[in-house]
Formats: sequence, structure tokens, C-alpha cells
Amino acid sequence: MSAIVNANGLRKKYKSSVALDNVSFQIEPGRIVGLIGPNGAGKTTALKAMLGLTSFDGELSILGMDPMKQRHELMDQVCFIADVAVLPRWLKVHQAVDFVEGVHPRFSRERALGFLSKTKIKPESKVKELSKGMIAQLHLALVMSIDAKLLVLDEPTLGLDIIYRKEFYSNLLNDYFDEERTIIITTHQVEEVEHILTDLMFIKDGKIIIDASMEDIAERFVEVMVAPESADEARALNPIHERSVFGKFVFLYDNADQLALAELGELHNPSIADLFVATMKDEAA
Amino acid sequence: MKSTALSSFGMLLKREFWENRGSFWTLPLGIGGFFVFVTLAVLTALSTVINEIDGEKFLLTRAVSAIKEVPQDQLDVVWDLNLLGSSAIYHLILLFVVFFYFLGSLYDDRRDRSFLFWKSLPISDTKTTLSKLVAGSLLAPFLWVVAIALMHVAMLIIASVLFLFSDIPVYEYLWGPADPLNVWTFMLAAYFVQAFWMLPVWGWAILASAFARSKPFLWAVAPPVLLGIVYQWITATQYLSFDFSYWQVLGNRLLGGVVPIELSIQNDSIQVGTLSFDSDGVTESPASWSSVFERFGQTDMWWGVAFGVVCIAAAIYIRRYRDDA
Repeated sequence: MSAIVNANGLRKKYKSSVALDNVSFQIEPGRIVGLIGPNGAGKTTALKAMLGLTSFDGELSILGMDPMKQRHELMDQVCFIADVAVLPRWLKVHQAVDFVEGVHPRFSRERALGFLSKTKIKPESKVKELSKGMIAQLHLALVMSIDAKLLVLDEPTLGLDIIYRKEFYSNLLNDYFDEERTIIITTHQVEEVEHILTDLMFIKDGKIIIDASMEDIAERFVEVMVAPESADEARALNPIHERSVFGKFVFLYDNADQLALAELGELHNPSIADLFVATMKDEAA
Repeated sequence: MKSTALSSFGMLLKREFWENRGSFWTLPLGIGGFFVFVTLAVLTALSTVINEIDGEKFLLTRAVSAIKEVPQDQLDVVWDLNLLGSSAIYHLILLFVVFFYFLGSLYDDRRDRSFLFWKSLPISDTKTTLSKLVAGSLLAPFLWVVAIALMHVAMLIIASVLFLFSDIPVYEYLWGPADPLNVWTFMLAAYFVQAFWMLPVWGWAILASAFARSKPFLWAVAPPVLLGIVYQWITATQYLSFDFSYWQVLGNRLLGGVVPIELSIQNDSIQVGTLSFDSDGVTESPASWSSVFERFGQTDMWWGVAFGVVCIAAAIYIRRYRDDA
């Protein structure tokens, strides 16, 4: 099966900044990709380009379609949650279900009602009467009831409390995801998604600086905790980042000789958050 | 139910109704309720007060009996006038309701960012925009006419009771000559014509709604006013003269529609439909079907439609391609 997303030389310039600087990547079916980067790195622009919400230069095809020219056909196959709590405030829950059923050929009412019955959301409630967490639950219930090939989530859990955030991702994984579907997630809360991701893309200043599967990441990047007396020895092996914990040093390496490192201390895989900090820091630092 | 092109358009209309239920339905019902309430209150007050002054005779009855002085062959026109006249305030309010509905139509969901939800569904921006045009120019008037009809029914029942108490033959003077069904269908037909007549105004409001990043009202109102100032200035210099009056064209478009009854604004006079007065009083009903549909034969109707179509096409383009996220 061919790639779900195929981007080649993607560029997008705003007046004062470059949001996407000649970006190329592919996303295969059946993956959950985390698109991670600091604010203003170009994450949202990349997603908007994929969803036909913004113009761009370069080549981009989603499910073989041009998102600008074939936007509304594309929306048959692609779902997105672009922001937290963007459901219209006047809409009632049962109206939301009726509406999506009425306009979306791939929506299953039964599934939506099933998901909603597991929540405290009442069908007669208006969106403005729901808490932010419940709005996110409702939106997710609607989206998960659509049999789409690609689901795009842009900061879907921002501002929600921890219980809703955990539940959001576990629902997504247990009730929705399968090898036919592809999910792209951007978020700041990297530690919460790292266990569900299959692929990681780090984006910085409009460029993709890491694009790899989680297995590759685990092989490539390694952390070693080193006692202070061996620190200089560790530094000689070109770590990409160092930090200190309880008087010891933790060094992070990319593609290093793991046998040599093992002699310095215990090896373990870095968390995405550590990797994020290490790679997003300016080279000068 | 699998969605088809037609059913999804129906769902879009329903969506507009859900969102605007207050101004599309509750408001005209409320106006009718208010009318009925005031009528009953006045009648109650009148019947007691006048009774006391008069002492013996129920004066209200005498007032109602005035209908007996109307010549039999003019009763139908009198009832048409009553029915149309009592709906006039609705039509005036509806004009504002629809205008503000269109101003918000492609703006409100951008302000609260819910357009990202609507845009996540497989509906083209053309369909969304057209559904709003139809909701404002046809669905809202339809619902308002239904509300007017309910008010009429209530008022005619009140009148019937009054007639009964006043010994006026109800069928002969009311239900026989009055033809409310004709008035209602006439209003619906007039609103159908009005939808075309007002297309340039509504299209312009929709364009302002799609274009404005804030204050759509200002974007809708300021350009035509500025254009008017430029026009005044040019005519004042007298280097150039026009064979039309800008303000007359604008006024004729805004107020010269066919609802509630056809108004046409000429240079010095305003003609109200085909209403003609002569020594015998009113002889023809203003509910004139033929003159309403004559609008389709006029060139200024189609110039307006062309302008409206251009505005709506521009609004769709902006809705589709401008990056508002």
C-alpha cells in the first residue's frame, strides 16, 4: 500500500517567518506519528497544509489527493480535531450526532452513541454547558465514529486535566486505531503520547530534524548515567546533550558506539521529552 | 441513513435553524403572542370602560358594527388589507433579522473558531454558503409567514367571537369574504420574488461576513455610504452628471421590494402596489399576484441578481482559500 502522506519540498512563508523550509517526508498507513516541536516550529502549518486549510509551495499529496484542489473529497477520508473545544457552543449533543450523520457518508451513529454512553454527557446538553474535558470527549466520540483513513489531531488535549488526557489517548488506541488507519498527533505533552506513537518527527524552525520509527529511535539514541570522575571520558565520545542528576551526569548520544558507552555506566533509552530538550536546544548551547 | 447531496443540504438548513431558532421562529411567534395579548387586553378594557360610561348599550358592539357600512363587494379587499396590514411590522423586523443573520453567517463561526469543526466535514464551502443563503432568504421568511398565519388565525377567531356578540353574521362578513389562505400564499410567493430582488443586498452582506476579520457590520455598511459620498461630491462639482440617482437606486433596492406589498419609489412619489383609491374607496387588493411576478421581467432585477451572484462567488472563494485558522 502506498504512503498516506507524501510531502516533497514543502515550503510555506509568512510575512516575517518561514514556517516550512523545504520539508519532505512520507507517512505510511497504520502508523501513529507524533509531530513534535516548539511553538512556531511549523507543526500547525504542516497540518493545515495537509488538511487544505492553507496554501503552500512544493508537492503534497494526501491519500493520493491534492489537499487544496480536492479538499472536500479528501474530508471523506480524513478527520481532524484542529483545536480543543472548537465545537459550536450552541449545538446540542444529539444535534451534533444528527448533523455528522447527515453530512458524512462514513459516520456510524451506533458507534457514536456507544462512545457517548460511556461518558456523563447528556444528549440534550448544549456544548456550552459541557466542561472542556467533556467537549473533547464528545469531539473524539464523533471523530472515532467516522471510518476515516487518516486522523489528524492538533493539540487535542491542551488545557484538559490529566484524567481526560489519559483517557483520550487510551480510547484512541483501544477503540479506534488499527493497521488500516493512520494518526498524526501534535502535542506539547510529549510524555503522554510517547507510549502510543510508532513514529516520531521532530520539527524545528520549519525543518524536520528527526524522522524515525520508535524502534529506530531506541536503537539510535542512548543515555548513559556517568559518575563525575568519568565525565570527561564521556564527553570525548561526542554526546549531543548532557545534564546532571543527583550529582551524576547523564549524557545523550546519537548513533554512538554502545559497547564503549556501556563501560562508562548503565545504558538506557531516553524519554522523548529528554530527546526533545536535547535536540531543540540551540547548537551553540 | 446514508447521506446524499440533497439530504446533506437539508441537514445544513436544519443546522441553520438550530442555530437561529430564536430569530427564525421564536421571535415571530412572540410578536404574534404579543399582538393577541394586547388585543385581548384592549378589548377587555374597552368593553368594561365604555359600558360604564354608556350605561346600557355595549358600545364595543357598535364600533364593531362599522363593518356593516362597508359595501359588500369591498369586504374582501378590506380583509386583505387588514391581514396584510397586521403583518407589516413582521416584514419590517424580518428585514433586519435577515440582514444581521447574513452578517454573521460566515463570520460568527470564525470568531468562535468552530468553523474548524464545520470544515473538518466533507461539505464544500459552496454548499455551506448556499445553505446559508437559502436559510436567510427563503427558510426564515417561510417560518415568519407561518407565524404570521398563526397570528391571523388567532385574530380572526377573536373577531368572530366579537361578531357573534354583536349580532353580525360571521360568515357573511368575515369567513366568506376574507381569504387568509390567499394572503398567506401571496406572501410566500412575494418572498420568493423578494429573495431574488434582495440577492445583491444579501450577497453583499454575506461577502462582508466572509471578508471581515472583525466588525462585519462596518464592512457591509461603510463602502456603500462612502460610495454615496463620492457620488455626492462628483455631482456637486458638476463636471460629471449621471442619468440616475445613486440614492434612488440604493433606496429602491432596500425598500422597493415586493414585501409586504410592492413599493416602487419614483422620483417624487411612492406607489404602494396596485392599491388604487377612488371615490368608492379601495377597489383592488394590494395582494396582486401578477405585479409581484412582473419583477422577473425587469432588467434591474437581473442586474441585481448578477451583482449578488458575484458577491456570493467571492464570499465562497474567501471562505475556501483564506487562511483564517
